[in-house]
Amino acid sequence: MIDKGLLLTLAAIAGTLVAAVRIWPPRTVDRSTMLDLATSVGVLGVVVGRLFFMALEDPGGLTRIGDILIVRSGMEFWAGALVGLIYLVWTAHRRELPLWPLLADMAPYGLIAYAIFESSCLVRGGCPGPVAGVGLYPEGFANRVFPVGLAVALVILAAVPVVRRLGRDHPQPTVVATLALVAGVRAVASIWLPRVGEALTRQHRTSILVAAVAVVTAIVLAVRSRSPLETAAQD
Amino acid sequence: MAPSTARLTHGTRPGPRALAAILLAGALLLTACSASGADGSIVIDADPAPTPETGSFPTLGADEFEAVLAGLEGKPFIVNIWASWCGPCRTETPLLARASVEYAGRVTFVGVASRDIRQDSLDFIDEYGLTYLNVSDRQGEIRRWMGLRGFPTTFFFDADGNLRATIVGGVSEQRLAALLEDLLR
Repeated sequence: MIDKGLLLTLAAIAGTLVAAVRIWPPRTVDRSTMLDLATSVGVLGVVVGRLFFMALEDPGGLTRIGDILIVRSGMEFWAGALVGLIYLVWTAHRRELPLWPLLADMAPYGLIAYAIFESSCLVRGGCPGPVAGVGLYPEGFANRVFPVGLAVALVILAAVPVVRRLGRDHPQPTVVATLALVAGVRAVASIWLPRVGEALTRQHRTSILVAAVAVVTAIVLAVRSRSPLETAAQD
Repeated sequence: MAPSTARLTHGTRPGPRALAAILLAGALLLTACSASGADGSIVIDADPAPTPETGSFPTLGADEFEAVLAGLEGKPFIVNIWASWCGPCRTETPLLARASVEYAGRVTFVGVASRDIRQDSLDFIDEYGLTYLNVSDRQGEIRRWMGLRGFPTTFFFDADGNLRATIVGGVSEQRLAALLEDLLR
């Protein structure tokens, strides 16, 4: 049966990205290539995210294409994101494009797509969250709840112009900071998202891990970028 | 400013975007394994019947099942319709099993195996160690009465037996926990 909410989400992401590359043209490649790359990353991320989820939750289902296709059952976000990143590294190498500027160039569009996905909870059954005085009534709820998905989307969208601006002159730290931002926001959001029991959800654990790796990477890059300057100063 | 024409030659073959649109439109549009049934609301209007013993896996008709649900009023309850051949059912069942333990005594869980071979259903229950009541809908009456549109479907009822929410397709931990907590407030 048709998942109208997901269909609407896809359409919104596609339409918004087309508009975004027109309003903020990419710097490293042309608009058409950027949209192709974004599409490839998106499709690859969804496929890998789905397969990874099934490998964890229902390995037997990996032999049934019908089960794999029901994406709404679940996807692993960071598995898909990682493979998307690897694809971009490979593409940059193959097409002899500057890697970090390309990644920094794509980062704002990636954030926009992610923000739309998070806010699409409105059309995919409602945006869950803690009971609050300010919020929405998702379908079937008798109490008002704070829409965590919408809050995540707003935070991410607020970062888009900053990421675009910084990415022009500081591509490497911008890419790492973007990863840390998304991971950090997901980790914080996981605190407020409802869950069964008290244990951290897998989303929470992996987001904390990715945020930690991103922060360590940022520190390493910062130290490396300072070393030549210190050596020159000593000379 | 980047040039508006593509720097890379795409020729006449469909680009990634066209292929992606075709693939995703087909794949991502699927919510659940298909089923037929009318879409309607559920009203429980029967004399309450005793709850069958957990593990007995009785075969019930629609009227009997309605009476069982009437007997559950007083606490929120959820009804999950599943089948052993259904992929999303296998994905969500461990979550439901965990939730049934976490919310034991506060929310009643009932599973309905429909359009399924009895032994396969029993194997499924054993495989996932389900400790809540499951019934067999051998004739399909229960799924027709509940207006099933796809496998799995989870129905959330409040303590008065009013249907509050229906989730078609696998239920996520977020929505399950959110709805259960809302039912308990």
